[in-house]
Amino acid sequence: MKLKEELETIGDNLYVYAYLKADEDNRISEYQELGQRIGAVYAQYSAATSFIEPELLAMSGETKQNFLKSTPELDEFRFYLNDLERQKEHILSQKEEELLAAAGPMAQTASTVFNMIDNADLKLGTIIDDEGKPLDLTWGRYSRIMEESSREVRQAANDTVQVQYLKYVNALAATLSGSVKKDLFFAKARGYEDCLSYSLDGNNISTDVYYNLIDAVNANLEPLHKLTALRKKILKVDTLYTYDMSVPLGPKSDKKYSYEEAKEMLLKGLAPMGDTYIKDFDKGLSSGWVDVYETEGKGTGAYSWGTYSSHPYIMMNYTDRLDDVFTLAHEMGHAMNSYYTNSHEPFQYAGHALFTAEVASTCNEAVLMKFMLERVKNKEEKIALLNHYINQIKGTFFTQVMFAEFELAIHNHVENGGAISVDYLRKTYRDIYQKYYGPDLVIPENNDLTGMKISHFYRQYYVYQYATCYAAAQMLSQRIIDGEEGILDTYQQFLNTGTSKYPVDILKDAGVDMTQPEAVNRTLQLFSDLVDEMEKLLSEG
Amino acid sequence: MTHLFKSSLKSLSVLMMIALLLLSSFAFADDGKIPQRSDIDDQYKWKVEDIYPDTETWEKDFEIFKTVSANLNSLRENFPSQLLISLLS
Repeated sequence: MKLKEELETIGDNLYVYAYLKADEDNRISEYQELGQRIGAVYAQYSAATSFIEPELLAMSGETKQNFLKSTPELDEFRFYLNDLERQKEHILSQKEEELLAAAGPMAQTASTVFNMIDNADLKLGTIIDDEGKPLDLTWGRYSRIMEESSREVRQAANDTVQVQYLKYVNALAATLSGSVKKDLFFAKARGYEDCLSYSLDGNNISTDVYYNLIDAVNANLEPLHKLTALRKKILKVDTLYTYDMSVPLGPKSDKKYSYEEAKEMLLKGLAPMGDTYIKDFDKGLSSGWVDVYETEGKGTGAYSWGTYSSHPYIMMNYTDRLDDVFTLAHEMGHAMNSYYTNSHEPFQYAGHALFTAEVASTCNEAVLMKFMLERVKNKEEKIALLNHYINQIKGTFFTQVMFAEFELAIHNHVENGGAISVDYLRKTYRDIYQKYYGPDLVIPENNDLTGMKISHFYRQYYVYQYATCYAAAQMLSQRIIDGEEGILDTYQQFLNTGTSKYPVDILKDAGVDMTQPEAVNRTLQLFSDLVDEMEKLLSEG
Repeated sequence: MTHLFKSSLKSLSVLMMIALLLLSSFAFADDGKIPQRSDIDDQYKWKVEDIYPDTETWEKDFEIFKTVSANLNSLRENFPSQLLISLLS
């Protein structure tokens, strides 16, 4: 084994062990300490090995080829080295590179200040809940309130949070402005035309992918407007506000799914993915991959994590709800992806670019959803499934494209010499938001602050990939369900591949060309069909 | 610059971002009736002991990693190209 691989495997094991143990019960400080210790040493290790890339970059093409030839073990680095070579025209002189590197920590200031405001200084506030008790808001509680509470409480939660953000509005506009200027500085310094080209070039993604996505969605906003109108009708409100947008439509289904039932549903529902997949999936579920239930002091949310040498680990907080079943399908998708990639790729290619990372997880959800919709017995359950499906496409696809459009607008504005003010950000966000959801939605005065609340914007041009992954996964899941010839082998190949190819090429090999609008258009068509079906079901009375 | 240089923790941070996106849709228990970890049957818990059986074993690997990381620095200063080759092959 290579020394670097061996060391980093040990480092990753130390790191993941500490954080998984800490997440079992945050009240036990022993594991937090392990985490801090390995964090510090890992930083030291990274600093000591940070010379590798500049060293490789500094080699001329010929020296590099000779270097590869003289050391056959290095053959698996060929893609990586060629990729460095590809970006060479944007690499500056050694002196300039040192200057840029030294400016790096300083360039993080906008993002650091935003995070300090968002995570430390800003409190979401307190409201009176439906039982008349005071409730301190957290984001977890907030999203639950938006789905389940009375309209008065939803409005109170919404207004309370917006007012908290309003207090910091000038600082938030300044940090976002600073971040965009930082993006532009590095793009220009490296000789890119604009921030978008700079950002996408890191993974060799054509800007067409980005523009196609936004254009295709803009040409198909009608179903989203229709959903807003349907929502207004079903909720029987004179004015539909943003805090009415997450309430499930139609009769409530309180169907529970025990964890054992969920496992069985997954094994049956994902059967179209083939015997090998199901066998490995089943084995994973019974081999200590999953931490299922919520317990005192346990970390919140859900994730899939692990190291190159370990099996995958899945954090769940399973509470028998329909959402939990899909969360398990989702995280198992990530876990299976890592499991296969770890056993097929060499160490340095065993990760995933975000551009492909959400495909395996979403594909599982889509296959499961199609299975459940086919077998659903009564109308309430079907409506619950459609609510889940429609909300998922809204949240993972439309909202992310809307954010992507906003990001593009503010970057273009600065690229064209414009200044980012509070008013500019509010108006830009309000216009895009209104355009997406249509004339039936009324955006309350302070709900146009959302553009200043999103931490992802401090990683430029990141969120559009949630939407492209969604579209790619939908297309793949349909072909799997249709039993298209050879699709299981193709999909397995996709699951086996990490970063040994460019992400657009990996998807192209799987038959999904994200430089073309087809996949995105299919998701738009699916959404339109689902809204029609929902309307039909709800109007049957 | 940041996007050109891949950190070894990159894949971990990607997964963390994925978790963040999902966080917003998670259940919250407010009633204080959450069970203790010891109340849960082992078959519903992940097996972190598959990475290290206990913290003593973790400490042993930690010592190795710490010592090597400290030495890498002086090797890098004195023999950069030799270190490059021995790290990668």
